[in-house]
Amino acid sequence: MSDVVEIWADTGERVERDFTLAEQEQRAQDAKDREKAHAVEAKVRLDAIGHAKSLGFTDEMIVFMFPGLAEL
Amino acid sequence: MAYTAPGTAVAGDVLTAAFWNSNVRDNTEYLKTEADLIGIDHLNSTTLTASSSVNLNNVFSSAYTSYRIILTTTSAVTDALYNIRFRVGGVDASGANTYGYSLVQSASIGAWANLDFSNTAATSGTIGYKTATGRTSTIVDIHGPAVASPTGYTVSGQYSGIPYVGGGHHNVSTAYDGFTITAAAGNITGTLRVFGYRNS
Repeated sequence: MSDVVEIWADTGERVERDFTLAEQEQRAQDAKDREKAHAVEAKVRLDAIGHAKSLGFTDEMIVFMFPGLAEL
Repeated sequence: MAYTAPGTAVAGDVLTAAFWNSNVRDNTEYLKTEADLIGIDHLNSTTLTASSSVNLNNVFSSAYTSYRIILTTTSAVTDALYNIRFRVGGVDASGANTYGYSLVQSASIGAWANLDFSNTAATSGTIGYKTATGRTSTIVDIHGPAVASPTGYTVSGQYSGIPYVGGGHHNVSTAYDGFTITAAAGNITGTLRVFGYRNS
């Protein structure tokens, strides 16, 4: 049980260790980036649903016709 | 040329041409012919126990153009995406705007929904999803990671019975020798296997 398993396939060497400081910072940055990307994606979906409703689609129609879009 | 079950020699037997040709020459030629027909080679297997990240170095080389990664999990603490970064010399490629991907998952009858998407805006590529409740599996075919040109990959997998497919690319023209797979949250318990597709 360790943060990182590092393997060298050519020699078979295996090292188990904790995250380095740089790796911890990268993980924190990754989490922020992902949160930001998902917020953008959520807005795109909401805008699409809003557009569909402006064209007269009901929630039931959107769920039936675009189940992926309605899974917000 | 057919394979012949090898005979057993005992002390005092005289080696004959017929015995040699059948047991050594013909069987060796048969086995070589069969071995040459194998299209994929096993390169590495690694077991993971509650690890958040696995770095595999020196697995990509000029010996193969395409590779298959199979990651199966038996348990995981948290539902989360898996991400990949290519690496060389023990350093991950994590530059901004270098990975793009799109994965879709089964949503309902005849419909697919987004699992994760990035239009070349990410610093890592998504290759799958793990759940805390069940076994998951992800198969990733990677094309040209050890060539100094952009690297592509395709994905298929499932979590808790929900299938997903997709793919992505890394747009940096660098030859990589390995990769890192990271759980976006929580950790991974399971097995990672890597195979190389023979070029001919």
